[in-house]
Amino acid sequence: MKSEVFNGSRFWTYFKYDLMQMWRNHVKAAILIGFSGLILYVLGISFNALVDKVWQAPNFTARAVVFMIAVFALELYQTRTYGYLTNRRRGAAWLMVPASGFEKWLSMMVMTLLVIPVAFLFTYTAIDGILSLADPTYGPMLLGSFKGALQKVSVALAQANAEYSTTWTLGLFIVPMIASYLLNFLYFLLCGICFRRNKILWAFLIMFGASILLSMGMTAFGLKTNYDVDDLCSAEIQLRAILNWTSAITFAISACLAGGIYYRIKTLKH
Amino acid sequence: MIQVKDLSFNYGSKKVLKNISMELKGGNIYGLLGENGVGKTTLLTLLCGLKKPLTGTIDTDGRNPFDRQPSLLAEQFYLPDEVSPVRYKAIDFGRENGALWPRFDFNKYLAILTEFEVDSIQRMDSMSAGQLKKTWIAFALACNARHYFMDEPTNGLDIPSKSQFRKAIMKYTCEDSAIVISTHQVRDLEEIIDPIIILDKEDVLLNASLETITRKLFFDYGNQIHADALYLEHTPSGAIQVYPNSTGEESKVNLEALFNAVHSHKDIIKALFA
Repeated sequence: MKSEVFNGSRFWTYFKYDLMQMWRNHVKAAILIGFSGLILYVLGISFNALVDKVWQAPNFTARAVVFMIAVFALELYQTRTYGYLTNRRRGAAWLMVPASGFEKWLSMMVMTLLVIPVAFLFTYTAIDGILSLADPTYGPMLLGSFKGALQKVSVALAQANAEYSTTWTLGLFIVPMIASYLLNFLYFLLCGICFRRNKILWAFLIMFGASILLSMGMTAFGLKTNYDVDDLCSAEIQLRAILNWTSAITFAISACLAGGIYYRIKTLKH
Repeated sequence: MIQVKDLSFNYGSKKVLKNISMELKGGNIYGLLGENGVGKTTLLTLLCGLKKPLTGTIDTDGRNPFDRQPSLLAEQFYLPDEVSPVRYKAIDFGRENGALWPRFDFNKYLAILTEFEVDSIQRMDSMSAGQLKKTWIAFALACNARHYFMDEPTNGLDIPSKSQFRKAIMKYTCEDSAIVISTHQVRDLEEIIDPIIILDKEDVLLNASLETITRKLFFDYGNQIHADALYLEHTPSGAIQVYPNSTGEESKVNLEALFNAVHSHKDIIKALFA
């Protein structure tokens, strides 16, 4: 007798179905967002050719900004990927699919945290790489320059404060970045399956509300303990500790969000 | 078998169903009738597990539908009043979605689509409302489920399609299937539905087989007017009257007349069928 919670073959059948739905409806959108680097390149080249009469690709800063905007757009897009669950017709049909809540949740996690980001990143990186090879004015690949950019930040910090070393590596930043990525994607996914209308607006309103509460809490904490903010940045070791703590808290919130998504799936009604 | 016991459901402060109890047995096609807003759709969605009862229980073959266990979901199908137009061909819809239902029969799906005169290679978002509904009905029947919950399945179907639907229901459902069809179009389905459930605000007015109904009520299509008629409607060919069956004589049930008789004499009907 098959388990009512998880069964490998049933999950695989459901996963293939979900992947097909994702491909039809959302992976293509993620790939399209991945083309934002190419769009910037075409616009930049055209602008420079028309105005300055030179063949010049957009500079690194512009490319980095567009990449950040594209990542942000992809995060916001998570309100749409499973947003149809709040639609009476489509949501009811989804709930009646013979797979367990856990299997549907697991598939949702894989799609949101792996399939869609990978589709975007693959497209973006591939286009970035091709342009980097094909056009000498383009400069190095964006993601390849990431480590170098972090080192520049480290050097700038070290020049500003002798207590910082210049030995900061990607490793120090990668954990908070992964934690932040999980938090953002899961947060917008949860908002997408909770709110029936104005999903993005509600997501931002809650985020602003939470930020205000957090700021007030930290201010109250500072006033109560008479903590000097400069102490936070007095030594590298403390900053490392802060980053580690921030990551741990972010992972914990992400786990709560993932749990909230599971709870929403189990209690969704139509 | 589906057992409903003391089921209540509210939308906020608005009571919809109150202490409803009934048994739905396999091998029957239940006609769920009622005025607008009495909770027919709500009852169907509760039966299939899309909603959670406020109080009371629903037991489907020993399981609670709201738990949405995959084994139960594989044995039931809910067909809503309005179905989704997906952005791909009917044949692909059947192939992909059918894989999720363990007993889905793809050839049966194609056969029903052919009987319904639906082009299987047409994209579903370019179909008319009737064609789309027929595609979903074909899919539902091909799932070979044991419990069907259909909300206004003949809405949007043209006259030949309604006949095709009746034939398909009789031909393609399992003998032990419990089928609950909510409808306002009683004439479309009166040849196939039995027993009849009539819902009222917060209550079940009637839940009886046609055999029981004809034993307790007489449907008179003659011209002679009876003083004790619970319902009287003049027609071009005479009249339809419904009155308590005191002679035991059999008659053909007219569902519209039955519905109106039940609604105009709720207490008498409840006492008669108690």
